[in-house]
Amino acid sequence: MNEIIQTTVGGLTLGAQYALMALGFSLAFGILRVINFAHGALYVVGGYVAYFVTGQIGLPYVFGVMAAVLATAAIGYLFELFIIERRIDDHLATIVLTLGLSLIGGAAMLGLFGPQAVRFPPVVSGTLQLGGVYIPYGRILVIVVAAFAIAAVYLLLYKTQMGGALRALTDDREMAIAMGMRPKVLFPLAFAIAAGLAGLTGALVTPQFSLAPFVGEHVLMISFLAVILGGLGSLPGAVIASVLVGLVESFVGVYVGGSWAPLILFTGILVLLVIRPTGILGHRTVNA
Amino acid sequence: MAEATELLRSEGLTVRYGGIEALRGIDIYVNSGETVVVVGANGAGKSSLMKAVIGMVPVAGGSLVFEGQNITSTSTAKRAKMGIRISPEGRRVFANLTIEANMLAGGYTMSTKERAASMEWLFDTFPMLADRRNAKAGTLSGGQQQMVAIARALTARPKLLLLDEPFLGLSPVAIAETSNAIRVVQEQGMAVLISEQMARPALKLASRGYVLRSGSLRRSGAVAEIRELALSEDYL
Repeated sequence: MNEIIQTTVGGLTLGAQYALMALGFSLAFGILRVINFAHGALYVVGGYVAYFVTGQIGLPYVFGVMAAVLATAAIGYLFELFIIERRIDDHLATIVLTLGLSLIGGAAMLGLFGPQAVRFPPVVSGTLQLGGVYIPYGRILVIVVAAFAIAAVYLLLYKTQMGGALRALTDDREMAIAMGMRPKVLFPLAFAIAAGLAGLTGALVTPQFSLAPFVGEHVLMISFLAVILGGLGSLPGAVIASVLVGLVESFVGVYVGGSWAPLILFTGILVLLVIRPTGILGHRTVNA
Repeated sequence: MAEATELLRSEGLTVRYGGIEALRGIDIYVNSGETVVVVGANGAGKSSLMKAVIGMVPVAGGSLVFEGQNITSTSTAKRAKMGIRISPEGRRVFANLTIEANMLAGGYTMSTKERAASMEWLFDTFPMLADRRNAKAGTLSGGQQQMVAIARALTARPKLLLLDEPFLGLSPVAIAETSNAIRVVQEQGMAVLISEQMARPALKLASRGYVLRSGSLRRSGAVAEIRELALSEDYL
């Protein structure tokens, strides 16, 4: 019994981490219709900025996290404003452009910090023991931040004027402009938030795992899984799918063997998408 | 009633798509508070005229003046801020947004307080909007969507309301309801420019009108003067 609880808790913490990873990716896709291939690279950049501020300058971890968010948000803002915005309606172009940013990001970290994985100073250590269940504090931090970030993104999109404008621009850009909205002001901000979320995730998760120039690929893959499985552009769908992926990975790891997890996940998702092509919470576009 | 002042004037307005002229040298005007109708068959250039006024299509020649200011090359967003709103052809409500969110978006340029007051008035005046305020606009009937499109444009309390084909694809009942909504707008003193293929219900709402054919003005004047040609144009 303890083993099942421990495995479930492990799956949920993994799921929360995946949800945080996928959040910015899902936001960029949901609002800008841009498949951000640089999402993993921004995660890595966030990790390195936090490492630089904490491990090399020696400031407290919280400053490292803040610096990571600001740096990646700034990259996202400038990248959207000067590069993506010109080609926003050309899906192939935005894929190639974000892929380019991804390669530049990885290469820049390689040049600056070398190919070896860097060692973070211990930032959040220790393990919470509840009955027979163990949860590292680092993971708890990720869960708490993930919950806050998801709530913040939800409130931004559904309870603020800026969020309403962003959703209107997504629905019908030309009509939204005819009501006075300015995509050239709002879209860079939205992309900055999405990029900042990637940086935040990198700053929180890489100290618990590993940090090397190309560890972002795994994050990009998880984000893709969550967004496709959850239904393209659906934030709640992405969160549910992330938790589901985390649980499957955790249970397969304990009861079947960790090496089988990716195969079982990908096969399962393929079957699910054949049965339900729109994903868990996706819906077909209604043509009025 | 105050003396009528000129709100909108176009001179020699020309719109081209590629090499094709959709509008050729159109001269029209709309005074503040009056309702003007533009009738014409499909492809006559009615929608091009409406889009040119709001700025959704670029003007190839001629000029547009709104409240004495030349807006020919003013951005769409700026024109919206100056007080022009459109309920476009095909309604184009924000399908994934609720009725309320559609109206909030319509009042984007206003202060929160002004917008809340404007929306409250709309909810009181058109109870359907209040009853279904949390319904996604994409799930509504054509007539209801037309109401949302008009309400979305009205939230900002525009000086000039453009209604592009408001009756297109609507049932007779929905046409009557939309007409009533337009009359409420007129009572508020807003100027309305309607483009409509269905001349009969549109002419009932206006005091003046223009008949458009193949991108050129065929006739202009009081409704009584253009009625005969307008109705014959309806069946071309």
